[in-house]
Amino acid sequence: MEKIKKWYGVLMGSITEQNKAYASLFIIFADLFKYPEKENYNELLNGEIDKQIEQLSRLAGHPIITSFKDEIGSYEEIVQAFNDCFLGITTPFAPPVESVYKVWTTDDSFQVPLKNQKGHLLGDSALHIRHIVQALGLEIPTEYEMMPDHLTILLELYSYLNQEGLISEAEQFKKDHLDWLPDFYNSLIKIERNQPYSNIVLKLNEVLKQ
Amino acid sequence: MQKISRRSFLKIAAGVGAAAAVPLTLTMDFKVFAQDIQDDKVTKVPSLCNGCSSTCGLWAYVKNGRLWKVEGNEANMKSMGKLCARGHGVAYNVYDPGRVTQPMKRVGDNKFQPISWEEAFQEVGTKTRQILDEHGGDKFVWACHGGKETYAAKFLDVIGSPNYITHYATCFTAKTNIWDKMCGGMYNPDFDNAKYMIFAGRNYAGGIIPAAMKRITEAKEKGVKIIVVDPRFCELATIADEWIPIRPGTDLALYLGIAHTLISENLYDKSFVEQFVFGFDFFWMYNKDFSAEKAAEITGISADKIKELARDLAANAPHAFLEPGYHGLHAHYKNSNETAMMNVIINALIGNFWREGGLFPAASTTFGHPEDTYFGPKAEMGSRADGAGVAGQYPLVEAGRGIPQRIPDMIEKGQAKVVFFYHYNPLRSAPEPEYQKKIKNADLVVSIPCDWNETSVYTADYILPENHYLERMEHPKVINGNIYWAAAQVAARFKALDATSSSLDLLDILKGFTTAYGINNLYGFTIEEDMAASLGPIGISPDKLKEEGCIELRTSVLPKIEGITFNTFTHKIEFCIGAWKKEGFIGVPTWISPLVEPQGENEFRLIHGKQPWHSHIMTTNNPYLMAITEDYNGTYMWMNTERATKLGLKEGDWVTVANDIATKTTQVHVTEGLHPDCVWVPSTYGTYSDKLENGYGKGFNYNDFIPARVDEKTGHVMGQECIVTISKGGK
Ligand code: SF4
Repeated sequence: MEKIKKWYGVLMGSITEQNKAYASLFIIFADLFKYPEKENYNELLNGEIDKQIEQLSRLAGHPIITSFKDEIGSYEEIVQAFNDCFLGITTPFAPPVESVYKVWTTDDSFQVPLKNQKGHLLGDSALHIRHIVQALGLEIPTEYEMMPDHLTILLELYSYLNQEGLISEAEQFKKDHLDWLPDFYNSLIKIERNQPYSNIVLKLNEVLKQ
Repeated sequence: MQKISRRSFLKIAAGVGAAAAVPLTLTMDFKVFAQDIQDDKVTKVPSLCNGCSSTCGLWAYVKNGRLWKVEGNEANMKSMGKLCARGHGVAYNVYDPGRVTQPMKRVGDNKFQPISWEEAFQEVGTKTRQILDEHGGDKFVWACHGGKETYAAKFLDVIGSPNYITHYATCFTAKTNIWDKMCGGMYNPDFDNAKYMIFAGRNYAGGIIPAAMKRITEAKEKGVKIIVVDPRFCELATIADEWIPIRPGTDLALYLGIAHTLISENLYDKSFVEQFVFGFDFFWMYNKDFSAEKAAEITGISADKIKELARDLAANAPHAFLEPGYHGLHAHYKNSNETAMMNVIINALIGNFWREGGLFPAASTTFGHPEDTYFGPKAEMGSRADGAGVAGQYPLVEAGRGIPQRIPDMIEKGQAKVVFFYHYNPLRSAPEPEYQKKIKNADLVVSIPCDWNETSVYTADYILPENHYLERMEHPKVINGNIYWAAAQVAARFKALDATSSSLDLLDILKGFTTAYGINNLYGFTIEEDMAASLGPIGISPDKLKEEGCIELRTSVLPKIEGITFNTFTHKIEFCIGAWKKEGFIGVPTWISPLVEPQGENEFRLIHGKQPWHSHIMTTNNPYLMAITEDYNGTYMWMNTERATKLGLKEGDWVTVANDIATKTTQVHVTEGLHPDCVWVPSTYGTYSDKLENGYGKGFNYNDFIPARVDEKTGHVMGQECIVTISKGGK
């Protein structure tokens, strides 16, 4: 009985080809914030990623054109950029994590100085993502449990909601959890070696705003 | 098109089908969710602070899996309900995005690739195996801070490596070595009942233990006389009755002068010495000419003052002590060993051991341990690569502590091939960072840190992040030492905060590594089972410990007159160390000059110490504590007013500090509160890992200026045997 209660709810909407293309588009963007394996680098370099983004965004009804292939240098350079931007062997760095760009908690009862500050992991937004992931019966890898609101996970989750036809949920999700990209961009451009990542964020924001 | 891509992070949870509907349990609206979780309950979990080695007891208050508040545990004899600023700052580090958030593999200079734990274990395990199969298990080194269970001993035992090395040679190794040899272990002062206290080389208000400061302050309010001997007007001196600014490096002479007065004026406790001291005559034979007047010439303290200190100690004995000291004097001078010996001797001369208001050993207990689960082969134990305790090398150094500053040398000589660093950062905390950087020449370097420390960034092939102390449960700890307390206490870290599995408990890291290395079931127990097995023999359950946070055992160390015995060969306090005589030394302390002396107008001895809001280099990246640094110009180097005037310097001026090892620039704090022979810097700054964003590039560290020397008797670094020249300008 409990199980039935738990799963009784709004039936999924119908899934169109357009939904599917839109969903796939964000899987591609999600991949770009992971560590650049050689294979992904080659896909970027030979224009495969730009081509897929162009096709999927057109099918999805949100056409954008990217030219990431022209913005990346050697493989070593993109690895260096990933280090500088996200791991930050040089400072400043810009973790692709939502909590870092938002006030840690709105719960005023907390008695730690970070409660009203930005710049910390596992803020309210991370707890919400963890909640959504669990409620939908999904899992995130152990390496990301401390930052369930990592941009890759957010984009995969947004993609999943669209893929499953949960359109109003996806809209709400976008409004709540993908609104920090301008702040993220501003942090990125303070880093000397910010390409291709700052451009990827610009394009991502562009498609989300359409 | 695929639902979720091949590299997808998100997965459908095992046993759950794809969602057929939006579950009712889902709150999609973030604002509603954030409001809902405000109703969650606050619970509290006990832990032990990781801000310094005092391990104060604390309660972590937790709401929706996150830290809601942290406060000191009243019952814990180190915290007595209070945490210092560092304790608070370090607790908040748990949410620092600058932590190493998952295992990392070096892919170039300053370049790392995040990898999964599975990959990390496989690669580190396999590589270690290959190297040790070729070169022998004794080429493995485990280097750590020391002072807690690391479980590494089991692995070392199987592979035949004795190379467990701690940081103590850079901290206070002369003290523990000497006290152990002379009286069988450490003794701690009874702040509550003393009438007269001398502190030298220990600033409890800088290197804080909250309960110690509480008790010293209470003693002061009762009218107890407090004397602070320190080249610097340190924080403890601000509450003392008297600050005695000694010439740095000459505490040994002061102690010899005090002992001379006690003996020549017949002020010492003859009965105690007759019953409990071995080697008194031998000591006196060598030192009967070292009068207070002679001490005065060396220390810059008048003979009258030295005699007064001796007479006051004797008048208040046994309710008086010369505090045994800590980092300040016990790894930093050529005469540190003899200084430690004289500390024992002065306290023995006033007969304060086991006496109310005097010194007592730490109350302790013995834990059990989980049953062995590994019954496979073990390699024959090799000999120590650092030479600690080895005949013909450093026979008098405690093997249990080792000589960490020798690690680059061991690597160069092929004596160390694989080095694991566990919460230890020698590239910043050991002498001469450029020399320490040679650690990267080892075949394999693995660092197990929390943050991106210098050792990880510059030398590690793999970084395996351990989780924050509030995220883990640990082997229990006996809480004792530093302060007299009649009963041992038992406490532990319990897991307070939500799993942040991007980092792991040390035990899990070692399980993963050793399994991949090819040793099965070396650690066939969980941390819960380890805790239960450890507490079993003393009749405490983990649940009870978790409920109470800290449990005090039966009173076991009380003042006594009868039945006093010392854990030495003669069962007495040995003024003459037999092991030293065996190695060709005199065996008793005599005056030894510091190794180096400042000569010219612009030469100074470089000394260092702790600031109340930092724990050496451990806290340099903490934003809350660095904000205090900003407020107080905490990175400034102190200089005596008269010397500064001669160099044309005023408060805040930039100066260049140089010797043949390093050149750095900093700003000066001009003060009467420092002996003219020296300049003083906090031991905290000089972070050069720019990943440590908050601390990077602020101030400099004394280690930049000292070579990696090894004292022949106790192995310490002689960290204040360092002369620098100072000139105006440089920024
Ligand atoms: S003295 Fe301060 S930093 Fe050290 S353990 Fe106690 S509270 Fe933590």
